[in-house]
Parts: sequence; structure tokens; C-alpha cells
Amino acid sequence: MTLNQYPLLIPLAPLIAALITAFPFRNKILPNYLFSWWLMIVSFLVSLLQLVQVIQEPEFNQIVLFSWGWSLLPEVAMSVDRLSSVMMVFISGFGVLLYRHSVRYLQQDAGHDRYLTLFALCISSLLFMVSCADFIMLFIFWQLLSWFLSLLSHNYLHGPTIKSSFRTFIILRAGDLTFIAGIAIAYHLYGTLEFNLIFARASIDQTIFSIFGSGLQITGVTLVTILIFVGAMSKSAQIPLHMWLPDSLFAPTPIHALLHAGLINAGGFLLARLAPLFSLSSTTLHIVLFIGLLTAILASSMMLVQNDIKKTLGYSTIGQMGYMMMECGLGAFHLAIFHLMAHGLFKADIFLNIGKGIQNARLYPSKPFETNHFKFSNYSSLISAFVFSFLFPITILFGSHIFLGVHFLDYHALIIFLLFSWATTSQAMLTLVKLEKPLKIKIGMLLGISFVGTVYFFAAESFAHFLITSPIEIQRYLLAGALPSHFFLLLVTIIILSISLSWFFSLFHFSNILTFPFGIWLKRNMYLLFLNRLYFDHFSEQFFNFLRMFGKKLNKNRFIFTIFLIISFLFLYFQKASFSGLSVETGIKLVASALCLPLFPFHGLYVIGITKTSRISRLVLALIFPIVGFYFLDSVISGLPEEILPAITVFATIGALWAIIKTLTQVSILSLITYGGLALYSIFWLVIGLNGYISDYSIAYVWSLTIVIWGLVFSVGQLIMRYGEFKITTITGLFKTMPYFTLLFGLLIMAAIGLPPFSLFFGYVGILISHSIVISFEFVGIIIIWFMSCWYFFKIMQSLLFGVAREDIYYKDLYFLEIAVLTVVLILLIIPASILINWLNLMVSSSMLILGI
Amino acid sequence: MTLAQKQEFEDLVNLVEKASHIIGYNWPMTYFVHHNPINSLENLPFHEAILLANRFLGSLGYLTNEIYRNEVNAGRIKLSHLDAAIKSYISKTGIDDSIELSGKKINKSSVIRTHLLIGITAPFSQFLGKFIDAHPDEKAIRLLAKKIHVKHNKGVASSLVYKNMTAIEWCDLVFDSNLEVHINNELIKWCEAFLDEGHATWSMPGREKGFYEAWRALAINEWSTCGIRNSNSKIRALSIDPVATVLEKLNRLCIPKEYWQDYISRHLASLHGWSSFINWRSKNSEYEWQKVYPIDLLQYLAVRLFYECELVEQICQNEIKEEGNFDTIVSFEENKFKENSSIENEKLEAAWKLICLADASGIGKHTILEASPKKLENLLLWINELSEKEHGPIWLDAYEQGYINELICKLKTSFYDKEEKNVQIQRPLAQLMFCIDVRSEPFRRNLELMGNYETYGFAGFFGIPISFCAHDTQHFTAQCPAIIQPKHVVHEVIRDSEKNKETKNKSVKKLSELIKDIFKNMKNHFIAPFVAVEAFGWFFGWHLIERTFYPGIYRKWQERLTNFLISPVNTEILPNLEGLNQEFSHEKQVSYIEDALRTIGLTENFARIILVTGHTSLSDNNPYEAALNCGACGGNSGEPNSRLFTKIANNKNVRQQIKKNGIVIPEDTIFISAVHNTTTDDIQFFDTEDIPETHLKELNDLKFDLEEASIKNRIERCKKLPGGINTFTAKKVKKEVLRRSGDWSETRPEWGLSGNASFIVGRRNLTRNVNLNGRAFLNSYDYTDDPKGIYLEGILMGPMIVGQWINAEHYFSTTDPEIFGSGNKIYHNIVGNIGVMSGPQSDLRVGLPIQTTTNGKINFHEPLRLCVLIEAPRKQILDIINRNTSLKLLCENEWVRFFSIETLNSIEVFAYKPSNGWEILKEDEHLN
Repeated sequence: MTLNQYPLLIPLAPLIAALITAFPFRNKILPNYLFSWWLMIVSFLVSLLQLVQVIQEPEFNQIVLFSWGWSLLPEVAMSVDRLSSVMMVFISGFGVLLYRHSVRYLQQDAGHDRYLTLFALCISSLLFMVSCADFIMLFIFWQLLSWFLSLLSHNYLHGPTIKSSFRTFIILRAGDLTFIAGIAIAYHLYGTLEFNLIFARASIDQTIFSIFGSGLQITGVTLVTILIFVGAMSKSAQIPLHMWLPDSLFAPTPIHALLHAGLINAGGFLLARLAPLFSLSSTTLHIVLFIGLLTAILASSMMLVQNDIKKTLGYSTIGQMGYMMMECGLGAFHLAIFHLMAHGLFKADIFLNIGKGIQNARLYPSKPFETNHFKFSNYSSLISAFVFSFLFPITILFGSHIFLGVHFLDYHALIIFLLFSWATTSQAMLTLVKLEKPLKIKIGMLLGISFVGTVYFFAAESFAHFLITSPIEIQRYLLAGALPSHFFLLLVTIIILSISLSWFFSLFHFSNILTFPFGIWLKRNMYLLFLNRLYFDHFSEQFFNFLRMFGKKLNKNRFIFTIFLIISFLFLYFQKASFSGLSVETGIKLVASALCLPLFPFHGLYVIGITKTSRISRLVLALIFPIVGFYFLDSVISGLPEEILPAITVFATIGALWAIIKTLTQVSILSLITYGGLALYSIFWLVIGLNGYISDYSIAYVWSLTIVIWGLVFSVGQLIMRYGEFKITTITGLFKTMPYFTLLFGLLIMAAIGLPPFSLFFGYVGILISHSIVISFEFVGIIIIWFMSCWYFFKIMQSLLFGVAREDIYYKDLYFLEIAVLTVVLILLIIPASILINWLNLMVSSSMLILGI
Repeated sequence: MTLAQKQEFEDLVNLVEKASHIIGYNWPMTYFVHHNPINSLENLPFHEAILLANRFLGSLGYLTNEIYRNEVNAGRIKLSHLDAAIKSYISKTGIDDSIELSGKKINKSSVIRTHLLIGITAPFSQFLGKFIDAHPDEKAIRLLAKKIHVKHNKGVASSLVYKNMTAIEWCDLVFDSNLEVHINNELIKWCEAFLDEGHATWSMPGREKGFYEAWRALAINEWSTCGIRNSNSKIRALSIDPVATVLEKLNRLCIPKEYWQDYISRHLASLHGWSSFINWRSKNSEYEWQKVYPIDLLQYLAVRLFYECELVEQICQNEIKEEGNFDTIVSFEENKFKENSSIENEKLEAAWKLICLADASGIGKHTILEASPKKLENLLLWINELSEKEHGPIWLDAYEQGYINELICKLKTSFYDKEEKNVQIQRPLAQLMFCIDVRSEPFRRNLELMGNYETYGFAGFFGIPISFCAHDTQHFTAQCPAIIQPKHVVHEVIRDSEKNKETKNKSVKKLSELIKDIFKNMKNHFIAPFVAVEAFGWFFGWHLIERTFYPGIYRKWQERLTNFLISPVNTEILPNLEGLNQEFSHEKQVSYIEDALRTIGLTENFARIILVTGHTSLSDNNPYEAALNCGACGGNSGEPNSRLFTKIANNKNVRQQIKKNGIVIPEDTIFISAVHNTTTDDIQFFDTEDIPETHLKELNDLKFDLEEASIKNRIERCKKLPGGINTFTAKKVKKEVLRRSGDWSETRPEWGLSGNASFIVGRRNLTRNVNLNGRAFLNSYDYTDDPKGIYLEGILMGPMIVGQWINAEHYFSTTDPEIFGSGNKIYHNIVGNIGVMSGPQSDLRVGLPIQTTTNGKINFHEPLRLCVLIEAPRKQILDIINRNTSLKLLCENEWVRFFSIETLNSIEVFAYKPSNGWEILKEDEHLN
């Protein structure tokens, strides 16, 4: 490590802080979290230093941290351009501030250490994320944030939050996996994962996809950016992926400050970071604009009907994020950064201060029916109101634009922002009109508006030029976000119309005008729509209820296995697969390997072997089966005829489907894990069926999968040894009673759902990226199976660890030996995939030597 | 409507009233009222009320056994007290049996003692086998199991289904559904919307028609309410009268009439925070929000029962193809009980328990294994008689004995000391009246050490129930305890000399209000906030940084800025002569002052200065700040009352009248008003311009001593507050309390009333020089001045009741922080300006947060019932108790424990035993 790598200290310092709080020796050596707080301050100071350096040396923008042999990513670098430096100062500053606040706020609380650890980890991942120079690192921290967020923003002991914690995780995970699909396609198209190279190559790439043979044509860059945008949508809570945010409000209050000021901005940052890529696809930008605008307006309407402070702020954040996205969609990426920072400060302050509400209500009580609205006396008063609160504001804003020399008429984006500013200023003036303030104040206010407006436009403009130094680039982005002229006119008309309508309704007060029957009906229904959060929750609930019922019904059906078999053979027929070229010996070996490395319809042996045998044999089988299966497969794979490969693919797909249906209805935790394993092994088979050979990544994948499943079987086995066979819902709340088990099991689950730093993640990524046909049903299939496995592994973890502990059981935490075993498992899982592959190759060849083959 | 129908309706209304006793009232949080969460059950004995509450609310009325056991290990509960408690339990229920095992005599009390100390319970039957396998005495247990005869428990009679669960709870249990959560969420949604007091910009339409109508009008249009099919037509078919709806639904569920009350109670208890708030509102029809938007429990129930009926019907049709009512449920249950559990398991359970007992009590395994089945059965009977859930009362008894003994010991020791001193009658330096609040005690003690000061304790509203309006607001606050209504109106007005500042202040205030309004309007809009946030958001950064890192400086600057913009003005308090429902006449004023002085026994030997000290608190970002203020002043600052009291007491005419009535206040005695800030221990003086120059020297001396006392008190308090400082110098503690009062991340600005345990009515001589650890309410009272006991009755019916409410609030918030308390503060979410919820959607929280009662690991507040110690003749106390039914109920049912103190030559303490009268506390019992 050399001196110019010092910016690495910025994300590392919070990481060290997290480790310090995580370990119990802190109490003796480092009291009161002071040291960790100092580390946060160090991080902040270094990021300031870096910002200064970046400003002074514009060419200084990447620090190579280390090079390694991984073909996907030859070297890991840290990007230190202006955008990431500004973001780092912002995030580490928040880290210092909120850490200080949390230390006090959660004082003497049971979960204090865990909270601060996760908190520091979040800050560290955020800092890593904003300073990445390539997609893989970005995605690693991107999904780690999802994981931390779903852990941090919920109270494990509280029953009702379990469901919402699940929802948070699953929505974020859906975004993550769409994101990785986008990355995989990007790699496929551009052959690299480094941002700068991608930006350069994408601008000359002309690939056009037609989606699944349909007539729909889509350019490569559009597809990539849309998929990535879905990832951004989930993090930044855009409709319809916003549902997790109001649900996550069951968390200690400072978490909301962090979440609403830091984490949720990740989407906006992502778009700004990838601005050169996004600006290549106007289609994507229009989608971003549409989603952003929709979110902004719907969410802030929902905000108006909320009756409690946290939900009000929650929906307000969603709305603001919508606005941020809208800015991105119009090509004003720099303005989005400006917005997210201003909003972050604003929202954090309000969130931390919510306790004041009751005092305010005591000191300034409100009265029922206390609304002031415009009293219509004669038309001249109406005209004066119109002039002051409707016409003058827009005139003034025009004026300040002209004063600053902004060529706003050239860009659609600026005109739309101007209209939004108009709405704000008009609303401010309206207050004066409604309160019947004298002319003097009105004029003063107008002067104030012109001053504030000018300063604000000037600040935003300078910020943009600070972030993106070349004006041509800013122009290019803005022009990329330009709408087709008829759309633009339509949008402008809609905005002007809604501003006018809202002006009119605010002036005379909504309730007082709509007194005719249709008005009352409209009022009621709109209120209901927003009160019920647009019925989104209702929809999703109905949908999952249906799914559950459907799964149960399928499972009860006796002929289901036969039906699945018939379906798979039908598929085989259509895929023109044939077994004719198969020799008897290869056939037997193949079946043997399908029995051991479970593949539908031969998975029965594996399932029985793990669920029905004794503890020891279960542990042995979970390890031996895959190895034996792999050995057989390895010995026949080169001799397999081409025609049989589609059969493997079909069986793997059906097998995964079968496993998913089974897991929906299982209650025994062992069979849940076994069927989960079946689904995941199917991915391996799927890839075999596609490729016809075993790639290094598949080896890494199957290896880490075996270890993960073994670890899960082991830890669940230890539970069964303590409490006997139990249903998944019987034992809950281990979180409180078995802390060591919780930590290790949690990490195992983290590995099982394919999160870094565990090697299963690299297996997945390797499989997805090295895959020859990126856009295919199999590609989608792998993503879906991955998603489903996240689904139920997280469920397993929740139902075991979360919730209230039973009072009528004596809980015993893990013994030293058990802890040691699980630790070894985890270490095996962390070993990087490349080392693993080399080592495995060595093992295979040496074992072949020994066996004399 | 027929007469019979009318009668039926009336009956139902009464029934709901009775059923609502289980939930009590919940006041809006803006003036936090400490109260007993099961107030309406006070007509039952304490332990029975707890059982009843447990049955409906699922609440805990005692600490967990584990905590009590820890207290035994820590020495807080002495074994002798535990034995005494067991003895009194056994004497209440039967006799202390004994059996002989291998020549050793084992009596019931020792078995119970072991049971209490280690807890003999077998693990959950499903896992029992595994646990026995892992047990070192596995064989012994299995062997023993073969020997024991147990009576097989037959299934509970099915009729009890009505009493023990609602139909939705039953469905959740049997069909593994989530109906209760669903219905609760739906009702929270509607309650939140209806009960909102000005939070939402866009409030629920049609509220003026009442809850039920407003709900109906909206829910008819709702798309698939709560997953009910065809909900629109079903809601349309409902009667417009909520009473009729409730009747219809109860009948439809086929619940026998005799169980209706229980059934309704159960439904109310399911969201007891919201329903008790509704209950409070419906009883306060004068409350301005209730006047405009009426709601009551029947309307709430009508909505709730509608959801229940429809959802239960739906799920029963889906799952078992039967109608969703209790006929179905009962027949289903009857079928189920035929296939009930095994007798083997019960035998194993019994064996497990016996081996536990043998291990812990020193009986020995062999003895148990050899004992005859009959004797084993006997042992089992004793164990099972008192399951672990029923240990609470015994523990509580022992816990309380420990406290009482320590308290009485302290009083006795200091009393002997005093006898030796030569008491001189000398004019004190000053006399100070404090609130009875437990936080006054340490301050008074520390002040008395400074010199010849006399302090008195008196309810902090100083006996004058007023409705007060400050000079810069338009609204009134009720400055009196929640149990009485304000009687007089009092205004704060600007002194004539300062009138010129008023115009400027007014315009500044108007402008600042305007700016606030503008921001509010920009925020509460569907497109305006975006640009507003972008333009103004940055300014919040400064606020954020300063408030987090420099709360003290921030507050100072803010104050300076306010003072610069709005020049502070001197004001005075003027009583309005008209009053609310009683004229605030001259005679009335005289009687307030005279009563106060006579109650506390201050009738002669007046000092030159009498300081009338109210109290207030200072905390930031704290929804519970009203709970830290003066409870006797309705959760407000005690300032107005203290200023009013001095204003009247300094009035010459009043003094003259008082003189005529027999109390001679010297000419040179003046009353001065002040307020004690309990968070920072600062004393702030008011109306100082009225103090004559002749008294300034004494006042300065007093101020000096007060500051010294403040420092001492701060040190005493800071040592108890968790997570504070380690070195306690005057400067450091001052800084620390200032930080606590202004830090927005502080969840424990002070301990408040936490720790309260006793209420001592008597002369200060009784408690002077005794360190009561801030756990006692001290009400000054001199029985020699009150031969008829009129003032004592006043104290017992007023301040004592308030003390009991405070005590009960703390008691129950500690024993069950989730149901009676408001859980953890860090999750709180303010809803509708009326209270808090946990997270985005939950029951309205009642009671105090755990930050008030515990320091995270151990309880700071010991949940003990209030011990009322009265220095007065026993007969007089007894007369008062017998005269007042409410008081009699309290002590007969042991909600409070009464003690009488006799101080002739030495202290004798008599305890009041229900139905037995006074009983002397023996020497050995309280001197160990």
C-alpha cells in the first residue's frame, strides 16, 4: 500500500469501527464507543482532504488498489473523481453525526452493540459503493446494503415487523437480481465491467436485441440501463417497489435519519455515476422520468393523508426520491445529486426531531375546523390574489433565470424545473393571500422569493459545473433527456394544469368547493385511494395468498409427481432431445450422478438421505453425495452426446420448479433446506445442460453450495439434537436466547442466498457472466431460482431467529466445538473462488492419480 | 322502536360500560396524566384485579420470577422476609402441612420456598422427551415417572371458549390465519384517521357525523375492505345505529347473553390503547374534538364486530364449510377434546418436577425414589398448587417488607438522635414550600444542610385549581390535578411599565408565525415541497450539526436570538374575579391561603421570607416531557400557581383576614415565588420586582444557599443517571445536566418520578436528616393543628390519590412495559398529536417507556405499592377511611398500604390490615 492510496482509509475506518463494536472486548479496553466515533471522524477528515485534492488535481481520478488474476476483473480500483469525493464527504459526515446521536439515543439498550456495528457497516459499505470504479465492486456493496438494511431497519423481537422485514429484503433483492442481470448483459456486450471502458465501448456499440423472439426490438444499452434502473428503483423506493419503505419504519429513530438521508439515495447516485451510460439511451431516460414523476406525485399525495409523523415523513421521502429520479430522467444528473444532499440534511433533521411533536401540540394546540381560506369578497380581490400568487411568481422566476444568463428555453429539463419552482413559490405566496396580509408584506415576500430563487438557481448551477467540469457534457445529458416535442408539450400542459388546479383548490379550500354529489364522491374515493396506499399492499397480499393456496393444492395432489414427469417428457419431445446416443455405462453413471447431485426425477435418494437418516449419516451424506455425484458426472461429461443436453436442462428446470412448490408447503426445517438444496443444485445442472462441460465457475458454485448446505444441515441438526424434530414455526426467537447460533447461522444464510464475501456469490456471478447465451430462458430461469432461494432461506432464518422466544424451553447456546465447526465452514466459504478452483483442480487430478484413473 | 327493543339497547349500553372497566381511560399525551392503568378495577382486591387484567389483556402484574430471584441474590429481598411472606400466604390458604420422608420432616412452606427460589417447571411437553434425554438424572426421572399416579386432566369445558377467546382468536389458532392482526390494522387505520387532532393535511372526510357513520360512508366505497368479499353491499346493509349493529353481530355469532360482557371486554382489550382513549373521549363530552367529532366505544365495537363476523364467516366457509359462529366453534372444540393428550407425558412432567425439587431442597434423589406414591402425590400437590405464574403475590409481599423495614428503621434511628438535641425555637432563615413530588425530597434535604431552613411539602398547585392563560398565547391550560376541574381563570398580563415593548414583540411574533405558516404550506402540498426542499434543505444542515454536537450552545444562541427579536417583558399574574364556576372572591382567596398554611402546619414562627416553589422540567425532543412536569399542575409548569399563591398571600387585605382567623403573619414576612427545575436543579425566581429592598440581603443569602444545595443535589442525581459522567465536580455536573436537558438524543433527561414508593404525611421533624433517596412523597401535616382531621382528609383524598396514581403508573409500567407501559422510546412515533405508537402502526401506547423505569439491564424503579405513612392518631385515620368509600376500597383491597406513626416518646408504627384494623409492626420484624 502506497501513500497515494490513502483514500482507502475513508471506507476502511468505519469498517474497523464496526469490528471494534462487534467484539465484546470493547468494554474493557475501549469504553463508550469513543474510539469508534473517532474512526468515523478520521474517515470524514480524510474524505475532506481527498475532496480538496480532487479539486486541485483534476486528472487524478483512479487509484488502483490491487491487481488479481480474475478474468472478469483484472484489477480493483477506487474512483476518486468529484462525484465520489462529494458523496464520500456527505456520507462520512453523516456517519460522524448520526453515530454520535445513536450512541446516546440507544444508551443502555440491549441491542446497542449490534446496532452500532451494523450502522458502521452500512456507512462503510456506502463509502465503498460510492467510490467503486467497476460494476462488480459496486454490486457487491449494493447488495450488502440490501442485507444490512433489512437487518437494521427492523426489530427482531417484535412480531409484526417480521413480515415487513421480509418484504424489505425481498423487494430489495428483486432489485439486486435485476441489477446483476443488467451487469451480466453489459459484460456480454462490452466485454468489461469497468465503468470507463464500458462508457467508451457502449457509445459505439450498436447491438439490438429482439426480446424472446417477439417483434419487440430493443437496443443493448437500453436493455442494460433499464435492468440497472430497476435495481435503483428498489433502493430508492420508486413505485411500485416502494412498499418496503413505509414498512421499515419500525426501527430506532436515528436509523431513519440514516436511511432517509443516506441509503435511499443510492439509486440517485447510481444513475449519476452511470450518467454517461444512461445518456446513451433516451428511452430509458423517459422511463426514468415517467416512474419518477409518478412516484413523486402519488407518494406526496399519500403523504397528505397520513396521520402520524413517521409515515408522513416516509411518504415524503418516497416523493422526494421520485423527484430525484425525475431529475435524472430529464438528464439533470448533477441536479439529482444536489437534491439528494439537500433532502438528506432536511430529512435527517426532521427525523431526529420528531419527539418534539407532543410538546408542540401542548404549547400550540390545534382546534378542529381551523382552516383559513380565501374569503371571496369581490372580483378585484380575486384578481389581486391571482396576480400575486399565480402570475408574479412565474414572472420573477423567469426574471432570475434571465438575470443569471441560463439558457433555459433550450432544454426541456430546465423548463420543467422552472414549472416546479413556480408551484412552490405560488404556494408560498398563496399563504399570504389567504391570511390577507397587507401589500407591503406581499411585495417584501416577492422580493424575498426573487432573492432566494436567484441564489438557489445560482447554487444549483455552480454545483453542476463543479461536479461535471465540462459544460458540453452537461449539455449532452440534458439533450439526451429531452422529450419528443409532442410529449414535452403534453407534459408541460399537464404540469401547468395541475399547478393551476392546485392553486385554485388551495385558494378556496378543497372541501368547500366540492360539495356537489360528484365532488363528494370524488373526495371520498381519492381519500380512500391514498389512505389505502393505492391498494398496493392489498394487491400483493391477495397475490401471495393465491400463490400459497395454489402451492398447497398442488402439493396435496397425489398425481403431481407424475404430472411433472409427463410435462418434462413432453418438453423433451418438443426439444427433440434423445437418449439414443447414450451408452449403458455412461447412462448408469449419469443416473448415479443425478441421484447424488440431486436432479429431478432422481432427487428422491438425496432428499431421503438427508431428511430421514440419523444425525451422523445425514452429515456424512450431505458431504459425500455431491462429491460422488460430481465425480461420476466429471467422468462422463466429456462423452455425453449433444442430444442429451436439452434433456438435462429440462429436468433441471422442472426440478427447480418442483423444489419451489415443495418448499412452499414444508414445515420441517430439514426438508426445507433439502428442497432448497435441490433447487440450487438444479442451477448447476441447468448450466451443464447448456454448456455441455463443467466450467470453473460451476465447480466453484457446486463446491460452495455443498459447503453451505452442509453447514445448514449441521446447524439445524444441532438444534434437533437439543429440541427434537420441530416444525418451522414451533421454535422462534433464537436471536435472543442463542446469540452465537444466531450469528453463525445468519452468516450461513447470508452465504446461502449468495451474498458476498461468500464464494457462492462468485459462483453465481461467474455462471451468469460466463454464460454464452445471455438473453435466454435459462438466464432468466437462473435469476428466478436464485431469487426464490433468497426468498425461502431468508424465511427460514426469520422464523428461527426472529420473534419472541418461548418461555417453556431451556435454550442452550452452541458449545465451543460446534462454534468451531461452523467457523471452519464459514472460512471455507470465504476463500476466494479463484483459489478454490485451482485447489479443486489439484484435488481432482491428485485423486485421479490416487485412484489410478 | 318497541319498548323491549329500547330496553335491549339500554342494556347493551350498560354492558359496554361495564365491559370497559378492563381498559380504563387513556388521556391525550399532551398533558400526560399518571394514572392506574386498571383504575376501574380498584373495587377488586389488588391481586384479583391483576389476575383479571391478565385474563383479558394478557398483562403481567408482577415482575418475573427471575428478577425477584436476582433480587434475592443481590440481597434486596431477605430470606426472612420471604419466609414471612410464605407464612402469611399459607395462613391465608390453609395450614402448614408436613410429611415425613426417610425420617426427615418436610413441610409445605419449605417446598414452596424452594419452588420460589429455583422455579420448578417442566419444559414444554413437546420437547420434554429431548430434555429428559439430556438430563443427568435421566434414569431417575423415568423410573420415578412409573411410580407416580397423576389424575388425567380432562379437556376444558367447551363453553369456556366464549370467555377465553374471541372468534377471530379461535380462527387464528385453529386455521393458522392472521385475522386478528388484519382486523387490528384495519381499526388502527380508521382510529388514526378519525382521532387525528390536526396532524394530517388532508383529514378524514365526514368526521362530524361520528365515527361509525364516517367509517360507513367511506368503507362503502372502499375496494374490498380487509379482504371481505362483497364488502360494499354488506356495509350498506348495516343498520345506521351502531347499537343495533353490535346487537345484531353478537346475536349472529351465537354468543349466549351471559357471556356478552366478557366477549366485549376481550374485543376492547385487543387494542386497549386506542379503545381506552376512545373511552376517555366519550366520557369527556366537553373536550373540543369530541364535541365536533363524536366517538364512543359502541361505535368502535360496531365496526370491529362487523369485520369479525364477516371474516370469521369467510374463513369458516373456506376451511370447514360451516357457518362462522360459536355453535360451529363449540361443536368443533367438543370433537377435538376427545383426542387429547397422553397421560405418559404428564407423569414425566411430574417426575421432572420432583427431581428438580429433590436436587434443590436437599431432600436427595434417593429419598424421593424411595418415597411412597401417596407422599409423592402430596409433594406434587404443593408444587402444583402454586405454579410459577402465581408466585408474584408472595414475592411482592417480601419485596415490600424489605422496603418498609428499611424505611422505618431509618425513621427510628434519626428520631432517637433528635431527642438528644436541644431544640431551640428560633426564627428560621427562610421557609420554603415545595411540591410533594419525590424529586423535592433530596433537594429539601440538601438545602436544610445549608442552614436553619424550614421546608414544607404541599401539592404543587398549592391548593388553587386554576385555568391559566399566558400573556403570549390564547389558549388555557388546566393547572390542577386531573382528578379535579379548574375553578378559576387566571391571566398573565404585561406590567404597565413594559407595555411599550408589546407592539414590537407582536409584530415580530406575527412575522415568525407567518414564516412558519408559509413553510408548512409549502410542505403540505403535492408538488410544492420538492423545490422547497432543494432550495432550503441545506439550511437544515447547520441546525443538524449544532444540535448534535453542541446542544448547550445551540440552546443558548437560540435563547439569545429570541430575546433579541422578542424583548422579554415583565409580567404579573392577575386572578380574574369572575371565575369559571366559582367566584374568585376575597373570601375564597383567604380560605385558599389559610387552608394551605394550616394543612402544612405553618401557623406560627414565620420567617422573613417564605419561598413558594413550584417545579418544572426541561427536556428536548421528548414526547414524555409532560410526565416530567408537575403532575399536580396537570403536566404543566408549576410557575403560575406559585406566582398566584404569592400574589394572594402578599395581599394586605388577605393577611388581615387571615389574622382575624387566628394566624398572625408578621408584617415583615413576604412570600416569594420560584420554580425548581427538576432536570437542571436550577431555581428560578419570579416577580422579583415586587420584593421590597429590605429583604434583598436575605434573598441573596438564600439564593446562595440554594445554589449550593442545587450543586449537591445535582451530584446526587447524576450519580444515579446511567451513561453520564464519572467525575462529579460542581462545574461538571452543571454541564452534564444542561446537556441532558438540551440534548435531542437523550432518552433519559432525568429519572423523573421513578423510584417512588412511599407517601409520608407528617411533620418534617419526622423525616428531617433522613436520606429517603428521592423515593418518598412528603406532605407536611401537623396533626396537633387539626383535631377534627379535616385537613388530613383533604390530603388523603387529594394528593394521596394523585400519589397513588403516579405510583400505580410506575408500578405497572415496570411490571409489564409492553402492555401497561409504552415499550421502548426509540421506536416511538407520534400519531395525530394525541399520543405515540411503536413503529408505523401499533396500538396507541399507554404508560411510561422503559427508559423511565429501567436503566436497560435492571429496574431503576422498584415496583412497590404505595406505602402511606401518616403521623396522626389511628382512630382519626380509621374514621377518615370509613367515611370515604373510595379510600376504603383502596386500602381494603390493598392497592395502597396504610401505616400510622405514633411519635410520643419513640416511633411506633402500626400497619393497617384489611378487615383487621391496626396491627403493630413488631421490633424484630423491622430491625433485622
